[in-house]
Amino acid sequence: MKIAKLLLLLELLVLISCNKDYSSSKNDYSKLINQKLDQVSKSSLKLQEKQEILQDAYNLANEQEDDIRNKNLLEISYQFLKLRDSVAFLTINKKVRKLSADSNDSLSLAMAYWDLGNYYHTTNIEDSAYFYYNNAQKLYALVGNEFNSGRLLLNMAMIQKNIKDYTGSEVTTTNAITLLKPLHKNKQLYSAYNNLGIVFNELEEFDKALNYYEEAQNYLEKSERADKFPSIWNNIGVVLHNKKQFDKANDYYNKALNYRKDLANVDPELYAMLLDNQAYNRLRAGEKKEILEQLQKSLQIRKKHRFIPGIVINQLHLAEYFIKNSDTISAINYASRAKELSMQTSNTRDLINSLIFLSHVKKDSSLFYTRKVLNISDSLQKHERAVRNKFARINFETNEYISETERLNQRIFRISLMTLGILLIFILLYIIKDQRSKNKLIRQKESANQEIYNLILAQQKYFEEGREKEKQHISRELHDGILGKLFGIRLSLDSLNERDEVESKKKRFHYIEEIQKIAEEIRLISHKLNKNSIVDVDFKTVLEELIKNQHQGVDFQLQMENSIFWEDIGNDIKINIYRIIQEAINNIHRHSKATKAKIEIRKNKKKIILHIRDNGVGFNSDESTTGIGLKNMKDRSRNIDGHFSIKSGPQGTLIKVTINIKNEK
Amino acid sequence: MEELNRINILLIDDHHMILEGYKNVLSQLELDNVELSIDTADNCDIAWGKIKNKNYHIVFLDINFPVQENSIILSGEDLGVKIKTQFPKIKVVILTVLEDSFRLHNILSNINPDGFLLKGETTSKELSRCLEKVITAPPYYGQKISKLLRSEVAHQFSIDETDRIMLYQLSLGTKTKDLTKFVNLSLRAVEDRKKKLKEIFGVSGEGNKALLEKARESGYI
Repeated sequence: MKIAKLLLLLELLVLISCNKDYSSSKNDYSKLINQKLDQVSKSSLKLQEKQEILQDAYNLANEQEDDIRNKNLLEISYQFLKLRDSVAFLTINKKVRKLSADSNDSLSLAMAYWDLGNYYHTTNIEDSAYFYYNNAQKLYALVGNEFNSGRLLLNMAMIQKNIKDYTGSEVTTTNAITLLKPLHKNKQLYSAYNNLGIVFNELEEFDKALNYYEEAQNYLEKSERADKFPSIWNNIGVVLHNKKQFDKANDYYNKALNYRKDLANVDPELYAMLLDNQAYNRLRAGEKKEILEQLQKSLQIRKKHRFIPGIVINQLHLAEYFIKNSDTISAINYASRAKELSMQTSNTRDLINSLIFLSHVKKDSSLFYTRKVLNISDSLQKHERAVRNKFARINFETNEYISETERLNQRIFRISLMTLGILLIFILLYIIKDQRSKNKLIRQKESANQEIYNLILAQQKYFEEGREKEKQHISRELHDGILGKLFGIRLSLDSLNERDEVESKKKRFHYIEEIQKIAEEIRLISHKLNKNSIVDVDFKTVLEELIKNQHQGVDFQLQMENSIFWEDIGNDIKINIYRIIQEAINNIHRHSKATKAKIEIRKNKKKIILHIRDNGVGFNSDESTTGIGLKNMKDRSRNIDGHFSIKSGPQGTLIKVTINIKNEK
Repeated sequence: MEELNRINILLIDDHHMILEGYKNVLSQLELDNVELSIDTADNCDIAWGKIKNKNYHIVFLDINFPVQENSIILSGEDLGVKIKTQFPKIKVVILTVLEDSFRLHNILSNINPDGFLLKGETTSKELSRCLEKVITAPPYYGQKISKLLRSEVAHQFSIDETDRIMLYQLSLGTKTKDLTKFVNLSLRAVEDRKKKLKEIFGVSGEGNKALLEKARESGYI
């Protein structure tokens, strides 16, 4: 009472001190909760008081944020589990599972499953326990926590052993060992090998069982859990007993019993078991001394601590002792009690054992017991089979689920990889196409420039040749004509020089006039030279020359607005206009039978308008045979964003091309 | 008294003014026992016709004539050669405005004229002297021609038919190694000739272009 008051005071103080900065930090909640949990685990309060404290802690935890709350709730629920308050435990556990599933907190979820598995294991609902262990184990395996994964596998293996699925248990244990061995978790490895020992003992492969126990002992030595030695020696004793090596078995039992003096106090269950097993072993070995006393001592301890399965076995051993000592009534008495007790606790193995015993002893009702045994073992088999099926289904479904998830994940991965690949290909293709069209544009522009330059160069060369011819002509005229004439006049005047008659004077005058004529000639030539000065060749001259050079009976006329600054218009437009006109001229020559044609180029704001008109016979513009020429003109118009139209009739043909030039420099 | 009564002269030039000048000079010439009969022609074809029909003693010949359609004899040089081969007795006097020494040399060697005057340096007295000399003791060469002849003798150069073909082909753009197709020579010989030609035209060590320019200037192409 005093202690309780003190604690209450302490709690009050804690509460007050925490109230000061209640909302200042979230850590305070955790501190408070931890303090409460400490109180519960350390103090020797009554159950109800502990429950109340935990309830407080629970209320506090509910105020917290997700991740910390989950941990605290798990701890609280674990404490409730320890207090065997299953209602509170289950409620909180469910809540934790929901919260952690919502927040994808797989670690808390796994721990919740583990707690739940433990709960069902302690309440002997093994299939549920197995199910939840399994869930927890898969979660740990997913996050790569091999230690916990191995521990859970071990738990599962023990459950499998308990329901007599020995092969399954063996497999699960081996899996657990492969996980735990690299981690050098000696304690768990001991448990695993111990479990294998038990399994093989049950399978009556005693040598193997002994080997595994040996291994288990090795790990036990390393793990420094010396208190477990008596337990394993007991197990070894059982195997040796089953091998009928009673002396050796006895040695192990003795070793275990003498391991520590206070064993009876520390572990009464094991102590009682050892006493019982040793006495039974000696009974089988044919000894008689002190057996009854030892068996009864064991029974007393077990009854005191209510170790029910132990009591049943003890009673069966006693029954066997009495049969050997020809006390049939006592034997039947113990066997019947064992039967009742095992029926109450639905411990079928011992029930069958007791029934078989009774059928041997009570000869008159032997048939009755035998039938019962058959019934029970039949339903037992069915039950076991059902349970095993259930386990298999749990395993199968989880495996199925996992492989399904894996497959889905793989598929998602594959699909996203493929999508990414396709996307990449598309992007690449787009880039290539873009680059190509850019290059094409550049090439087109370059070729247009080239063509225009070529045209202008050709024109220039043509003019140059003309000029050269003209120069030669003038030179010849000067050299041969003027010089020759001057020479003639000079000769004549020279010959007339010395004469003085009238005739000669007249002649001289005539030659002076001739000289004047020559002067006039020279003036003309000089004028010619001047006129023939350098001609600037541009697009306009190129077009003019194109039209000028058309003979072949068609009278071409070019009308071009002077306000068009061809210098400012892109070469691609110019070259295409030139080619369209060229093509049109070709068509007129070839097909139109026209006598006159007029080419007009006008500029209207940001547009250049080209009209080519002839007075020829025209053609049917619907006919598909209008030929490549027309198609070329259309293509060229389209290349420079121009609009092309053609009208043709018996009076002639009119081609109209309208070109936008607003994008030009 | 010697009887050299009549000398038939044909004046050939495309300029009437020149023909008139010649006539003016010749008509005033007074030679002993000589009577000059003067005819004129203003192109080579007419001149050739006249030469075939009349017994001319002396022909005054120009070199350059304007090329007309359907003219057969194109230049005075050709006519001169024709006269010299078919009527070797006719004395030929060349009167030309040409001043290019190569061309002049070629005319000299092809026609071997009895008189050779450059119009630029010719006065009426020179012309008269020339005629007298041609009648009495040909040849008569003008001052520049004489000078040219002297230098030619020193240089010993001449450009023959093969050289002309080579120059012509080169001017068409034919490559040196392909010249062997047009002249009957080995490539080595062609190279040697080209080297010699370059020496003659004074462009040793320079390329074909310089050679062709010089040749063109000199009227070989």
